[in-house]
Amino acid sequence: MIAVVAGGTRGIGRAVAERLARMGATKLYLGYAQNDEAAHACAKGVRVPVELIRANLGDEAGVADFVSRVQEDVNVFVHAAALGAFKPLLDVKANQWDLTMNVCARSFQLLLRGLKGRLCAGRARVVAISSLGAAHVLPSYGAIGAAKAALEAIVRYAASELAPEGVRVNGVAAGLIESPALEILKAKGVDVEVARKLTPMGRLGRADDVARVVEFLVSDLAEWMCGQIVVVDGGLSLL
Amino acid sequence: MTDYPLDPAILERVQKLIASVLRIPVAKIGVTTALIAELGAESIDLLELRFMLEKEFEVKIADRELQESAKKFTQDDIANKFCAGIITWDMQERLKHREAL
Repeated sequence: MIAVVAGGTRGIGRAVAERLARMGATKLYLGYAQNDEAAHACAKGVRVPVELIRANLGDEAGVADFVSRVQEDVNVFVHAAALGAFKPLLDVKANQWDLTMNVCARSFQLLLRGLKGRLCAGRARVVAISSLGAAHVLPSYGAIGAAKAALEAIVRYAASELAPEGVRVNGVAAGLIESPALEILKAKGVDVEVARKLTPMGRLGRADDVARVVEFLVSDLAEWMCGQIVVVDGGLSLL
Repeated sequence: MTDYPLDPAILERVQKLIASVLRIPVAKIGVTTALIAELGAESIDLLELRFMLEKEFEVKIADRELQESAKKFTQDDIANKFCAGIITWDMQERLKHREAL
């Protein structure tokens, strides 16, 4: 199994990479934008051949560079790349909005375009990592929430267009996950304890909670799932 | 001020990049204008600027190099840094070296 994970060296992306390695991936292409140290630690930790790709997915040329590095047909593609302005929606400046949308959403469409031949040849299973913020209001998450909503729309359209080619596309909407992004929210003064108390299952999510669902979606067990967004949040969105 | 030679071509290109990221006129970005304190740049802006500098000059800039540089920049710091506090003399040499290749 050849797998590509954009945003695959930290947080949920890293947990997904570790799951894919345990599923028998023979090579992982892991994209990242910053934090070389974490990227190299991840590459060392997954114990299968890894090619790290440092690229700015907010930029068309950066996406093209990423695509050019993938040299095999792809069996699994996970889009976990996310970057954005954590602030109230109306405080987000135009350049910050553009970068957030380009990294979180546009890059998924551009990567699907660029990798289409390899995805079709590998009859790939594709999963995009979204979040509850696409459909629910989270503090300081307006721009990223909008970008994740766009990402989920891309999942549905791509699923429809690629299914006849043998490529399955689905998404996961993660609740509050203990991750680098959550640390940013905490630093912004967001009280995550409230979410923990409200969550019926009584805890925040872990990156591997999401990765396990990704494992299911890329497995044959999810053969009949197409264009769906699976919510993984311990029940938080039920309230 | 400093004894180090300021490369006007590099200064101009960096000023243009900052202007395009922050969407402000180039004229607002002086050699000693502090990117954070005076222009209101935030960490996400500095990350974008890093991406653009890396692309423009085909160099690699270390994680948080710009953030740390910009945060610590004061008007007294011009001996060490220029162009809104983000370009160190060492970085200018790297940019110039790359240009010369």
